[in-house]
Amino acid sequence: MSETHEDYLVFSVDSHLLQELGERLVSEATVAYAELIKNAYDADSSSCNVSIFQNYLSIKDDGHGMTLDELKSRWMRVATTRKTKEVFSRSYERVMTGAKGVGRFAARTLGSSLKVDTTAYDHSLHAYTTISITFKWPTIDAAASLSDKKIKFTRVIHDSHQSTGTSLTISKLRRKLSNKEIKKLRSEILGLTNAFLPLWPPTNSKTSYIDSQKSKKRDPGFTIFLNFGEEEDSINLAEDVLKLYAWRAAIDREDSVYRLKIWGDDKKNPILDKKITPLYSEIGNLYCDLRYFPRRKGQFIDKGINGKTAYNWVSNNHGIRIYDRGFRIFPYGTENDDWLRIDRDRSHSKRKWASDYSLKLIPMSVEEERDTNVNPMLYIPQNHQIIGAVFVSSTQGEKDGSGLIPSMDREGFVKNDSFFELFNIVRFIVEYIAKFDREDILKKEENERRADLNKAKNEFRNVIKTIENSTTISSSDKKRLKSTYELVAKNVDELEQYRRQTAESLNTMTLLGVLAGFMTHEHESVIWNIGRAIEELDGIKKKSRPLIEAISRLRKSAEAIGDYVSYTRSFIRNVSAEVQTDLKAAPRVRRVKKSYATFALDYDIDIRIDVESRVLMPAIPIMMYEGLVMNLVGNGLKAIVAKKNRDNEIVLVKAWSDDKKHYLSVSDTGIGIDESLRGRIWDPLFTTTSNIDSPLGTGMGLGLSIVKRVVDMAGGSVAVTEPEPNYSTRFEISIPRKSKYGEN
Amino acid sequence: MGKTRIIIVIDDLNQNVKEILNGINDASCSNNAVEFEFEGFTEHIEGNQTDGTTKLLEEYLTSRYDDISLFVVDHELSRKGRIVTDAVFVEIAEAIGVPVVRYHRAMKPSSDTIYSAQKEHMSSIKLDFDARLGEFACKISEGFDLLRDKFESLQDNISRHKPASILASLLDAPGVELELEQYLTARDIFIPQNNHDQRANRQLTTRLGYWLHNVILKYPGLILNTVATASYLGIQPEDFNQDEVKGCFQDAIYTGPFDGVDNFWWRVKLDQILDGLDGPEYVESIAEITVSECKCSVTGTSPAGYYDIITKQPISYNESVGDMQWIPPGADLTRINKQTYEEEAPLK
Repeated sequence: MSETHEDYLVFSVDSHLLQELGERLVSEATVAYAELIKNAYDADSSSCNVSIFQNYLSIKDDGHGMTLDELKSRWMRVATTRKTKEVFSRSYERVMTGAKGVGRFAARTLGSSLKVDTTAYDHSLHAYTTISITFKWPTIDAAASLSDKKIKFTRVIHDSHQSTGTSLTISKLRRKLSNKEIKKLRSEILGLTNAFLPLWPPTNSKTSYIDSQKSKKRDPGFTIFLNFGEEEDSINLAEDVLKLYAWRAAIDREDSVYRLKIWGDDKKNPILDKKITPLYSEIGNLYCDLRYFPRRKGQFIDKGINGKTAYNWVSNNHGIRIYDRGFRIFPYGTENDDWLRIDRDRSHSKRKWASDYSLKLIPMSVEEERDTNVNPMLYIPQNHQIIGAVFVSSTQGEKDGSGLIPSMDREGFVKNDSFFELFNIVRFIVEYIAKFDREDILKKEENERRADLNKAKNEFRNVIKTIENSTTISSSDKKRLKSTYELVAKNVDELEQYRRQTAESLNTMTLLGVLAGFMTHEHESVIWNIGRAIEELDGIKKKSRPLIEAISRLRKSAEAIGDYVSYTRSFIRNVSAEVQTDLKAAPRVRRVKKSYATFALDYDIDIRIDVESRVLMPAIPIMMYEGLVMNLVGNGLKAIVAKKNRDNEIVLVKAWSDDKKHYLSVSDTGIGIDESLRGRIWDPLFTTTSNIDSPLGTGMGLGLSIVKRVVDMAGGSVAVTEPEPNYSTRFEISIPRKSKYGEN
Repeated sequence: MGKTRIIIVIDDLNQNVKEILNGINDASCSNNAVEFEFEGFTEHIEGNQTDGTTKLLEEYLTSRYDDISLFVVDHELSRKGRIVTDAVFVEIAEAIGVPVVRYHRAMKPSSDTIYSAQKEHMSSIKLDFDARLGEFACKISEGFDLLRDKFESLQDNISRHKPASILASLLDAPGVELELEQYLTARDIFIPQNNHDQRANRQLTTRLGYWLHNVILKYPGLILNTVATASYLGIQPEDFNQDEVKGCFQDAIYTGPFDGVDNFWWRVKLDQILDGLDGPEYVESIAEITVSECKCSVTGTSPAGYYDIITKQPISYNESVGDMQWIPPGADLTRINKQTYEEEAPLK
């Protein structure tokens, strides 16, 4: 007879589950540390001290701690979903970082014993309690089921106020962290730290920020101290990264003046310490600390933290915030805020200082302002590269509307004279940083170049010495080799002299460039006047056929000049543009063809382009490439025009690339270059067309010499090569695809 | 007699001032509703003395502020001893909310470049200095005045509205608010806190005017100019320009601020009129006229449909590129010749 029995089944949990959650889920020690530190962050701690000693480590925080109920329901309950439900932390509404609720088991990965001491305020008891409990993982693992294992704890109910917080002590360590792991750990937990906290005014500053410290709700930030036993000082992570600035500037109000300090490579001794008299309105107390982090090679290398993480952290925390009596004032320093108008000025390539302090104290000369390599405004730090905080004390408009006044809608300050003063002084220190930075970069570039040169010289000296001391080389060979190397050493010297000369002559040419700008401008005006005259003539032409034809010719040439001027204008505008990679060659050649279109049409010359669409131009300035094409095509046109009988004339432009180089060839059906003259065509002022009455006004003989110089600068070569069938001359340029600017 | 409107022309050459003033005068004669008063300024320095016109300008700005409708400023005020630049006037105008037209006594390029097409949206309107400058300045001032008048009649507390919803109300087209939002560029249009701040309201209507003229009407998508309309309808522009053909689309004509500067059509209304037919079919059915199909200006054979913002010609989708960062997302009919784009996009 069958029998029915009903009962309940429960899941039993094998104690090895903790092993799964600990060692398996969190196998890396750095992740384990990070998980435990995140717990401190989620508990609203303002700081977390991580100390790692020879035999044990401790992680202490000053968060809200755990009561017995919380310990039971949260700590002792595996994979609690509390954190997924609670998106924000209890007091400061931080976004909770832990999610799976297993972070604490990560402690197993670090050591086989964990002692927890936690002090909290227990509302049910109206008293502070401290609970101490020790987990010995091997004995827990040895139990058959997790629920069978009883773990002893003690609870002290205090009769007085206690500081809350949790302390984890892990002993019987499995192993120590390697230097690489320490670096990784720092990177992991960096995101939790408050970037702006280390920027707060030092206690001896007069700027008031005390009010905010009393605020109950204000998040004091999260500071992590790492102490590795042997090091004397513990490390504040955010401060550590903030010290990796390229430039730092701080301003503090001292009585009636501002005291400005600027630090560069030497983080201890400021490069500048200067007192500045306020220019305009009174703004009261002011303290400001700005750090500039340009993305440069080596900026974060060998600094004990992953460079990319550090840079991303800077990027995520960027901006120049303003705090009024310790309270953050919005929108200053938020994403997309540009209250100092530095991003705007940078994108508009503004060349003049915007701060009146800069105009007065660090004025730029006309030459500095004009030189795009020197003018610091063109390289002014941008918001995403700065972490900065400005501390002020507003007057709330008490004194006749002067001083910094928060606007009624709480969106920033009223734009009065005091705010104008604040803008001026803070913008001034950004501009000052730009000035120091630019000067420093130029100095370093010059030093690098000199060092390279000296290195080359020393190498030659050493070779000569080796030859002299050699016992295996015959004396006649010695003499020959020595003189060869001495000659090369001399060439290096000459090269330096040549470089100087080139720089000088380039400067001279730049001066002519200014004139080109004026000419373009005046041409525009002339063409406008011609246009107006044509309009007038159009009105009266009526029946005069010659006049109609004359107007048509005039209009055509005005349009042609207009196109040349447009091209020149765009050339001048782009001559100092940054080098871009991945640019196609064909559009550049097409632009040059267009600029010669009217001329080619007039003389019935066909400018043909044979460049596949996928061919990229080399990684050189865009106008350098167009300039080369323009010069060679111009030469081809001149050579054709110089011919007595013209028929079916062609200038052919080809461009192609192989793995390493980009090639450009320009062939023409012109008068050709006599074999005997080929060696001299690259000399400045040499020309084959000077005696010919050419409409192009040739005869300067500078074109090819400049082409050669530019190609040399780009590390390439140019030559007259065997012309293709039916063509008389062919120039071929080859330029490495890889340059100092990148690779194409 | 209507309301007095003042247009102030600022140029350093008397002859230019005179010519522009004549142009404005001729154009405004036809407008009986508004009486224009204008003054030209040619401030320059003789020795250490100025001729006092800046002082006069100051008086205008303080005592006749409400009547000033527009500044017309030469881009280059440097011929005779510099005292002010056009940037100064643009800044003054921005601060007091008066719109500015700027012109340049220089050649007119045969076509725009990508560089010039994307510059300056929100601080002035640029015009060419030709025989029609005065006439256009007059029409532009009428456009801004219309915006101002309409804005004054808005009863709502505007601080709660977005720029797109305010402009939609001013254009009497509340249904296009979402489309207008697609025309918002990176530059802000600030909404004043209340309707009672006269200066802030003028700044707002001026900025809305720049937005309408320099962005919405310039980049076809929502409101289309003649060529863009012809291309969209698939009718060759010359054929579209015939009165009988244009007449078929009478109900879609845009009437509102700056409608005198060019002819414009609401795209959404064109769609309603076509009701599924293509442009030539519709014209055939209504006016019994056979019109040619609008061809792409690049191939000359394929159908166009789009508008090349550089050459101002019809263009086909395949021969062009769009979605440029500086073209508002709403301007989905605005494109650029592929080859031109390749040639010019990397340049400043």
